[in-house]
Amino acid sequence: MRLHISREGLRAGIAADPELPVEVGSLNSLSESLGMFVPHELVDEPPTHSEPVELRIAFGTLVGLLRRRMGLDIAELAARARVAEEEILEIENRVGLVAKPRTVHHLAGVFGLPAQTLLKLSGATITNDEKFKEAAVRFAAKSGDMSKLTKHEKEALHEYVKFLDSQADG
Amino acid sequence: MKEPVELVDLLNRNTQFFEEAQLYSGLDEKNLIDFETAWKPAFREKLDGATPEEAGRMNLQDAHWQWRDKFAVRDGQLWSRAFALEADELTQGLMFVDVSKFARLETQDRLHLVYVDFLSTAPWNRRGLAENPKYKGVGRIMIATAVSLSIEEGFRGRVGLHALPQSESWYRDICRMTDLGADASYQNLHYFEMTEEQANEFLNGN
Repeated sequence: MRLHISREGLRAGIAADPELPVEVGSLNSLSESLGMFVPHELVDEPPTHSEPVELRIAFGTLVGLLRRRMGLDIAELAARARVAEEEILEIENRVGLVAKPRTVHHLAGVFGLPAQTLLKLSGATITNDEKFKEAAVRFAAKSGDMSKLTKHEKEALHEYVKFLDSQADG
Repeated sequence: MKEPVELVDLLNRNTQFFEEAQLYSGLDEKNLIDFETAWKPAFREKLDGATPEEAGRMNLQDAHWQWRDKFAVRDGQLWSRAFALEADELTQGLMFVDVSKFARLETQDRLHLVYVDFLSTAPWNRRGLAENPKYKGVGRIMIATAVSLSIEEGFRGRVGLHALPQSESWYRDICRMTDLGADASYQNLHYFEMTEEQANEFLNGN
């Protein structure tokens, strides 16, 4: 076979392309092929242990606080993240829910947070980082009433977001 | 059987110069070895490791053989094609396609297309995984390859694929493929298709 595009045409396209991921393939096949850990809901057998519920509580708390900080209601966040409103509701309110990896990726984009870090926090991927887990538990404990963002919550949120950003390469 | 297709160019982000790369149809042992000895360690280094017990439960320990099995299943099959992109003596990109599938877009209903099964670029080329990602262009070259194969098979450039979440923007906004939405039968990954017209635009740089 031959390519139906010139070498010059390809170079021009490559030079102009933005820096975006291009990977294609099922989550299972890519994960299995790479020997990566597979999100719990995609494993045939249910795991005999699970990530602490506290991590997922922290994730739901974080999503709610960041949403309120951006001045968005659930419908507006769902629209920006291109996910269903019900999913946002479940993340914020349903203790122990493991969010879908795609949803976490899109929320990371909306909030400007590293996707890999958020995947760990959401329980979609597994982490053995004890410091990470402890920070999540401390953050969740500091965040109280969700009805209004207090000065204390703002400070806690600010500090935790800084921490999550610092975890981007881990 | 692995055969050279054409010489192409990858952009070295560090030098900002294009470097010659060889596109191959088919894979061989070198590509499998590069994946296992260069790609996988680089991925693992970036990810939190599971404990040995967790790895056993999640079947990570024999992932090596699973990947070789997948290649073995596809190798020699009429419906399957594999492509490799090599530069600097290493495999920089891999792609498996399936030529037996049909389009889902209403306007293209039941017409044949080239379905991209798997497309991946080496970890050292990826932002977010490498501190100074090396080569840019694997994705565009591989999609141009899929489109070209589609033309040569008589499918007029039609291509279909399920994008991983982080890649949706590339296929929707840069390749300008049609997003048919989340596919509940495929892990809710978004399914994209490229029509003949979109394929012509892609190849012509529009």
